Formats: sequence, structure tokens, C-alpha cells
Amino acid sequence: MSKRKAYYASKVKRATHMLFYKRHKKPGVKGWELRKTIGSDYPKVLRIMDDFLKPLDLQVKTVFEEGKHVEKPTQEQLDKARFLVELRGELAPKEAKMIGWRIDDLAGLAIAISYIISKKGKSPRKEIDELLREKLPGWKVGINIDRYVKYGYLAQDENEQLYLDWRTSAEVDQKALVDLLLKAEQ
Amino acid sequence: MDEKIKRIEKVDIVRTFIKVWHPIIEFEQISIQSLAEALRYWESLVPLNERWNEMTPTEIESGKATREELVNQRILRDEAFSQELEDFWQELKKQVAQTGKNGKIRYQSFVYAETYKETVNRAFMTSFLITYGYATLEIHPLEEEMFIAPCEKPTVKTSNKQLVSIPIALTAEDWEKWKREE
Repeated sequence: MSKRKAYYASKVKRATHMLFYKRHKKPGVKGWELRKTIGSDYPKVLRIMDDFLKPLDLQVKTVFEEGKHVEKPTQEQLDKARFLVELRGELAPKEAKMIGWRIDDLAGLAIAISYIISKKGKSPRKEIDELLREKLPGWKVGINIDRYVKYGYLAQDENEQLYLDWRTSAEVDQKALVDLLLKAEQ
Repeated sequence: MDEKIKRIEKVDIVRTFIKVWHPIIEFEQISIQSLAEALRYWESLVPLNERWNEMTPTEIESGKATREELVNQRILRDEAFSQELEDFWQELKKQVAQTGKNGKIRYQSFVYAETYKETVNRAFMTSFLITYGYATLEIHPLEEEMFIAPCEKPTVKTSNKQLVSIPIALTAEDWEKWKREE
């Protein structure tokens, strides 16, 4: 192995440990942490890691502050961003069950996210509660919404308004979800 | 679109959702190294009864001290505490107006100061601002962020909500890290 290859192989290994293993309450690693441990060339190291992950149907995801998409990020934006490893492709419905989600819970999450998107980013908890009660048992609805909030899919403010939170920005392609729902309507 | 959401079947929404859902991968695992580290810690840990013995208070002969002596020892302050708290509240309001967002400011931005000693003092004063209803503390546990929002007027607890104590660690290492990043 050339010296240069060995150099990057060692850095990719370190980055893999940092991104796969839970370090904080919130998954993933901040850019500045990667810079500190791996060096200023960490974006290149992550690109190489991403190539390694491709055949495994995984990818390195960058979540910028406030969930915004950034085309050409600056060093500062990268340092403040969170880097995660996530599924690159799609799950089959049976696989969703395997990763700990019951179809009811997942449907509730999908409805809550879609409804908040349709309401331009925020909705009273009461409305989502009523919507979910139409198809899910009433006793479960409150527990489920709390769970979505706890996991970081939704956020709730002191006025009981629900918003999309960081995990939705990281895991859900919101534009594609809206497109698919609108197509389904046609 | 919300009409469509209301009409869609449960199975169909799940089928649609999993096409655009890319769940995060994360592992939790104990390694041989972490087990070895934990065992080393356990071996060096002094038994509880010995640690408690160390903490037994010794009897001290009591006496009287004048106010001046307490001020000299920095136990009491020259300025009346309520006045100092009031000034600190005004400072918080000013900083929020200048650099805050949505009527609040990051805890670190407000509390951390040039020296660690001053930082500890500001954290101490901030705890009183919150306890006495001059400000509220907002915690975002997932983002690991805290914000302080000054109240327009000091608020008195009127609801029946349970009061909670929030311990906030303020180590010299944290302060040094913040200072370096500044």
C-alpha cells in the first residue's frame, strides 16, 4: 500500500468509528470534531468513506444548521454541520418492521410529517392528534406523538405547536415525499 | 395536500414514506478497551463507606464576624445583592437585544467571560435570575443547547407546575475550550 493510501485508510477507519458509534445523545458528529480528530482534510476523508459505503447501500449524510440545503458549503458551514451515516436506498415495508417500527407507528409518523409540511412547517398538536385518532387507537396517539418528539422527528413549543425537527431534516427527503403524495392524488 | 393526507390508506402512506426515508445508522457497543477501562476505574474506586467517612464534618468552634470582615472575605458583597441582580438582569436584556435571537441568547454566550472566575460568578448570578423569575431557561437536550430569555417583568410562580433543579456543569476545561474557539 502506498504511503498516501495508508494515510487515508487510517483516517477513513477513524472517521468510521466516529460516525457509526454513538458519541452524544444526538447521533452523528459535528464537522469541528472531525477536523480536530482527523484533520482539515476531513471532507475528503468523508468522500472516500462514502465511496466505500455505496456498495453497502449506506451513505454519509451532511445536515447543515437549521436543516437547510447548502450547495457549496464554506469551511465554517461544514464545521457547524452534523455528519451521519444513513441508508442510501429504500427500505422494503417488511424491513421497516425489522428496524423497530410497527406499521401503525410509521404511518402515524408519515402522516404527522406530511401534515406539517402541508401546513407550511407548523401545526397545532391538537390537529395532528385528531388526524391520527381517525385511524389509530386514541390511547396510543399521545404516546406516539411524544415518541416522535423524543426521537427528534418533531419538535413542540410551549404553545403546543408541532414543527419538523432535526431528524426529519436528516432522514426524510421532504420534497420527494410531497411529490409522491401529490402524484398519488392524481 | 392535507385533504389527500386525510383520505390516504395507512398502508399507502407507509409505502410512500419508506421511499423517501433514509434512517440513520448508529451503534452502541461495549468494547474490550472500554471494559478494561471500567475495570481499572472500579479497582481504583475507594469503597463508599471510606468515602463517606472522609466527608464527615468536623466540629468547628463558632464565633462572630462583622459585616466588614465578611465583605473583605468576599462572602458578602458591598452592593446589595438585589441591586446587583437587577443590574445583571438589565445586562441580560441589553445583550439579548443586541446579539440575541427570538428574545433569547445562548447560555454560553451570556455566561462565559474573559476569566474562569468571572464565568463562575456570572453562572451563579444567572441561576438567581432564573430562580427568582427574572429570566427563563430553555433547554434543547437533543441539540445540547441552552438558551436564556429575560422576562419583561420578574414573574412569580402561579401555575401548579412542578419546579425542577437543573444542574449545569461549568468546568474549567469547558471554559478553556470555549475561550480557544472564541
